[in-house]
Amino acid sequence: MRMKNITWKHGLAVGVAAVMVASMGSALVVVLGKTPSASADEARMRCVRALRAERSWRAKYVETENGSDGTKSVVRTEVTVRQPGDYRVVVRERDDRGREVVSASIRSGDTLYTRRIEDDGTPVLHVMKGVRPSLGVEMDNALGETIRSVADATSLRVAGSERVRGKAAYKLELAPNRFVWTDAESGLPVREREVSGATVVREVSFDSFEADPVVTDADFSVASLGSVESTVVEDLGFRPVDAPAQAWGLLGFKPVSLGVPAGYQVLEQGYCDPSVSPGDREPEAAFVTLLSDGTNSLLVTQTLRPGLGDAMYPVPADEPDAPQEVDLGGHRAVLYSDAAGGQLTLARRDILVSVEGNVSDELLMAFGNTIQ
Amino acid sequence: MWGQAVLATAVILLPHYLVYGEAVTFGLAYRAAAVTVLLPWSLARSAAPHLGRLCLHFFGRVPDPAFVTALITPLAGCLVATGIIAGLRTLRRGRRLVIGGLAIVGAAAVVASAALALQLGDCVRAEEQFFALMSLSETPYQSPRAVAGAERFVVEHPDSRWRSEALRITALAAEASGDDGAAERDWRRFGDSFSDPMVPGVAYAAYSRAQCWERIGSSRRAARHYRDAVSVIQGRSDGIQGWIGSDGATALARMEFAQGRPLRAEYWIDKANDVSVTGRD
Repeated sequence: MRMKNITWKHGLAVGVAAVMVASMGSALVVVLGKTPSASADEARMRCVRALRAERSWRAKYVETENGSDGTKSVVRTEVTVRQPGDYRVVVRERDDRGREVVSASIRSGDTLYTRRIEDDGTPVLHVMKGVRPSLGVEMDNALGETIRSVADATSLRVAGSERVRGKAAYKLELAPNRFVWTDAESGLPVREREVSGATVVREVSFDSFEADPVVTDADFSVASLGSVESTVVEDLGFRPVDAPAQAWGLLGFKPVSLGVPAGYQVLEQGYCDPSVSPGDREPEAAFVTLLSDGTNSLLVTQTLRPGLGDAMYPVPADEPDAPQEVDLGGHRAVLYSDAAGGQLTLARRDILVSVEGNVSDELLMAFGNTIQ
Repeated sequence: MWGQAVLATAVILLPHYLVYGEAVTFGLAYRAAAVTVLLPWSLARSAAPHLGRLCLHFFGRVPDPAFVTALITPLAGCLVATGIIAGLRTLRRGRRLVIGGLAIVGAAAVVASAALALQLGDCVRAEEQFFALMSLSETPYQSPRAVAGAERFVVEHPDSRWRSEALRITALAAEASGDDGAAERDWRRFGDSFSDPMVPGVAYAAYSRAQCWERIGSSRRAARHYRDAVSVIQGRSDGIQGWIGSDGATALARMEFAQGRPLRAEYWIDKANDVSVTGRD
């Protein structure tokens, strides 16, 4: 009987109320749940820029690898960067007998000092001298490598948002078997994972990050590595010079001359000695120049490619992310750019010149135009 | 594919039978039968969008199936439809519906099967010819005739499972001629021809692309592909093509040294020696 009293107006009122309750509920879920959302490009750029603002930092990460034979290796690493190109890395892992083995490295200029415990328990200092200069932003550790991977992943996509160690993070898919989680707030990687089906093959957990840590000169002294019983020296062949002309005879070719963009200065230049075969690798004659404006850097590498002339190798044009062929004063050059920066390659008189930097394409092109 | 088409056509036709009964005209039956027979023929011969492909056949833009096919099939459909209608007129409505439907579906199935058989026959013959051509030399990528055959095979049989092998030949030939741009393109197509991204062929393609990019001069791009190659091999437990993982990791170490990152270089040297990557255990 009561049903007869319910008019269409009552129904409409109930409907409107239901819609309002649902809307408020959804809004509440969004606000309280703080569901992060970002496009792949946004997440990528935040990740790439996360470390650039920091000159000095300390990070700890744990790398776990599961071998196909059932073995599992866990490596704990602590990286302290005092300034680009000046860092200390401590690695802790277990040997075949389950004992913890600690090795520590200090990079100072073009030399890397590493104290290792050999299989017989002897502490040995490995000195790697003649290390080439590097772009400061591209760190010599897993954190830097993960950021570089995010920067140049072709088909990066946001595969979801999750909480990692209690904090909101984006899950980025770099490839069908590679994922990186980045902190939704800072953009820094918090986890990297490589899978094979349902099996985790490799995982890096970036557990902590500290900007501007307290460091002393003593922390970066070779003596801080501890006592050693012997020293092994390996020469990677890089020789700093004051002027390119000093390298001509030793290098086997005359490097092309470079301009210096406004605000930049040459931080380091030198040649790779072609008579030195580092490890079992073939020697490579190259002239390397590192320029910086204090924040951004350009790394120029010149290598001899007989027969190249002023021509460049053809570049496939039908690929979505193929490098662009650009014209530099009538000469052909190839520009490859990703979120972390770019690389410009060009040929002059049988010399292949590669200019890499964490700078805009425009600056790379302007710099390329100064190359004679 | 053709089954879906037949079903769709049957769904379109059935209301006409049910509503109009005797009023089904010869023209309608002719068109229905012709399309019902022709459509699966077309579909069976192509993975292209169905109706688009069919239209292209009619307008002669796509040479395969041949113009003759497009002519004969409607005529055959016309004859079949005439016969079916003549036979159906002597039957009662219920039986007419059942037998008419079965006849259309059956005829379509026969035509589609024949088309598939012809297509498979064509493809198998082409594959046999391709392999015969490739076996004439131990290095077919150095034989202009074999390379031309591989290029033709890639174009004419895009759905063949041996397309990847033909692309491998054309990529190697481009590398041998110094055309790294073309080689990179063909290695990419070679990698794209695998549906599973974790097979060794994908790693091989990535490794080969990295080498092309290294020669072209883009070390950043080369490093990316070396990394992809190592990642695929590392994710496998069978050790197949483990050398790709080992050589890829060695190349990455070399590039890290060149970039002034000795610790990452040592990491990749360890990786190159790691049995889980090389699969040489």
